[in-house]
Amino acid sequence: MSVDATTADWLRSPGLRITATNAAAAAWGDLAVTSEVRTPFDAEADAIAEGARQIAFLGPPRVIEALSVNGRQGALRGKAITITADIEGYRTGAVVFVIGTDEASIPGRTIIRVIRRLA
Amino acid sequence: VSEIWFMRAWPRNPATGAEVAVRLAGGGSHTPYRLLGQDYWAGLASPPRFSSRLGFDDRGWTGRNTPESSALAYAPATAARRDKLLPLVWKGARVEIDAGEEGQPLTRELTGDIADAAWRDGVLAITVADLSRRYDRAILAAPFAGSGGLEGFAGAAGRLKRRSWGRVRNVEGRLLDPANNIYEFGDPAFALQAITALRDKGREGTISTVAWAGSAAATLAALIASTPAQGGGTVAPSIACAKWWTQPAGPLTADIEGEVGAGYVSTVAGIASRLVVLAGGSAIANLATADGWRPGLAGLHVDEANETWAAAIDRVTLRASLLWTVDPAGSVTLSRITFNDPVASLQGIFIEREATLPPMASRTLLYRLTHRQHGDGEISAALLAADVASATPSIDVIAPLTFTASITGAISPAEQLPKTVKVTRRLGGVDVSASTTFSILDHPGITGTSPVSIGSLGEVTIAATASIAASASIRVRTVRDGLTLDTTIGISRSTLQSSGGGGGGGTTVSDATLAGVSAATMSDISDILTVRTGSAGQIQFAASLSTIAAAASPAGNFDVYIRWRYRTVGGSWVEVPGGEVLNTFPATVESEAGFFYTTDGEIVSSPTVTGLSASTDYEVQLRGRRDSATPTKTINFAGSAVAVGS
Repeated sequence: MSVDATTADWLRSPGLRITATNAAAAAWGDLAVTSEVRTPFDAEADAIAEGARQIAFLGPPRVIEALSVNGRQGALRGKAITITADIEGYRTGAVVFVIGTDEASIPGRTIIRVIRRLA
Repeated sequence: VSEIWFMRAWPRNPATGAEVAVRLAGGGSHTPYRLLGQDYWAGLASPPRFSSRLGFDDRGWTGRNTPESSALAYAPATAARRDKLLPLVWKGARVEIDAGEEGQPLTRELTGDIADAAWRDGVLAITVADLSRRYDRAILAAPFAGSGGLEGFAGAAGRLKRRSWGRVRNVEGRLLDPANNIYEFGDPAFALQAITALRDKGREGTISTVAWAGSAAATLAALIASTPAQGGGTVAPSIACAKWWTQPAGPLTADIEGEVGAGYVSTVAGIASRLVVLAGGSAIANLATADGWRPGLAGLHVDEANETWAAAIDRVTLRASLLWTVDPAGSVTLSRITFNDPVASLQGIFIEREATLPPMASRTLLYRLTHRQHGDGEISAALLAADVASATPSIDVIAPLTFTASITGAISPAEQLPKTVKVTRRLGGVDVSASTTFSILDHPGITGTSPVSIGSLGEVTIAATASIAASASIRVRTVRDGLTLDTTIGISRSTLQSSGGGGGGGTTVSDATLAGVSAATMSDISDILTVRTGSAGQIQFAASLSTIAAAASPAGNFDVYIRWRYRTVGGSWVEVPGGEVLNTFPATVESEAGFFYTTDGEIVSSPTVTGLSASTDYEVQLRGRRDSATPTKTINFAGSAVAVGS
């Protein structure tokens, strides 16, 4: 059976690699982080598409913030929402990703923890 | 309008262990506590309230999302009701809660288990178990027992039974039955869809498949009975096992299409949904949608004893930017980790900022993972060049070996043995000795106790105790890819002899028993020989010697110098003119794969001294030294030191 040097290189590595880069991070120097992740994908095209998704989410500087919203909102976990509040960054509505919900602390309200892009 | 909630729980009768249905309700203003023909007891103070939190840091997701419930408080209206509930065993009981606005359809708020129930101040405080509990069990079943058959040989006892789903590559086979070359690639209880490739040290072999034979044991028997093609293997995906045609040279690895189960799955969402079901949940609610988000071929291999279903689902989903969430009713859904397509628009009140996450400059993604990563020595040499069918197999020519012997036929100097030479088999010019089977066919003319042996890479060694006839040979067989090539190593033994007299009445003397040198200062090589000049009054010295280093550590090149000297009998030594003579090339010792290979050096010094007294006895001697005393080594000489008087 035919095997080649490319296969040998692959066998010696933990897997094939692609790197997604965020050109906007260049100005940040050492403050910008780099990271590596082992994906479940088998094909390069899927890895490239996933790299684009991950760098789009992880690329910009972000903050984790907590806000309270009306009602029981546990179902917002893991979803993107638009939230408006009377504070800089939220006045015109900010698209955030909800990473935590707490229905128990304030009766009738839910505290949500969100990731918000600063840029 | 106010909220109303109904709880059903099934604590157990302590005497019988039987479930006892308990129905409690609370809230509302006018709706009776009656649901589907059943009465509910009033007094459940509040519906469950949930909180959840995902882990997230500079480099992405670190944790996962499972909601936790606050405690449920029930205050019985009467002592009789209290006395009915108190004796029951609540720990581990199933529980369901439905809730909604009065007059509106109820929705399921919780399907789970009760962690425990406490009785305090007239209130029954019911704690609901973490909803993720069913996912927090380890995936892998009990390890191989080592009791034979599908439980593996004794050496397999305690080894994990691995699991794979979807497309998984280069999984190492682990020995299940050494006598029959059977290797397992996972838990034999779970059929794989296919084993699509088998590699020995990275070199892929042809495979044939053994079908399911009605039972796992019968399938294993059929696999054992199979005869794989040379250079290939037989696979039995239904028991996650394979048989290689011979003992593999290196790691035996396989590419796998994972478990079939209720139907082979190979997408991120499909695998996650299968894991949810196997953990005891219902299939992912939005599976088809999620498959559309991530249609690519994916795989998951579980080979750690403590990995839980939850951790495995995290591993396959989070790294594909999908998030799985368990809602209180137990339903699992996938959502995309993205800022795109917000699903709701809300007004909020800002509370706090917890953390600032730096930008990410680059994200490297590994795909097509090699679950067994090879070291440099674990790649077949044949891989590094084209190991193609058109390549021609060959064996390197080995130059005949020559040994010198004393007049008695004994190898002299003795350090010529042991002697190792390497037989190298090639395919298309590439050394494929590592995947070749070598054997000694015969060795006519070489006798003794185990006089000839061969190593796994073709290292032929003539033992130190071997006796060698004047003419001998060793025939070596090499087998690879079903093709046999033989080669013969020719061997000759020369016996050192003195020659006759010199000319003009002179004599000839010689010494073939020469001493070795180890120091960097001159020492005697030959005895002191007495030679008589003839009428010409001259002596022709002659030393054409092999220099020999024993096949042992240290390896290296070992230079030596020699020089003749002479004197009248009892007189003072005179060095022959011309100084010390360096060897033409040195004796060398090389070390490879535990064998030492020697190459003899050569040194020649044949000066003539004239102007001596005619017909007079002179004493002559050959001396020598190494260029350096380090590393420690004795260099021996084969041949004769000869002086001819004339």
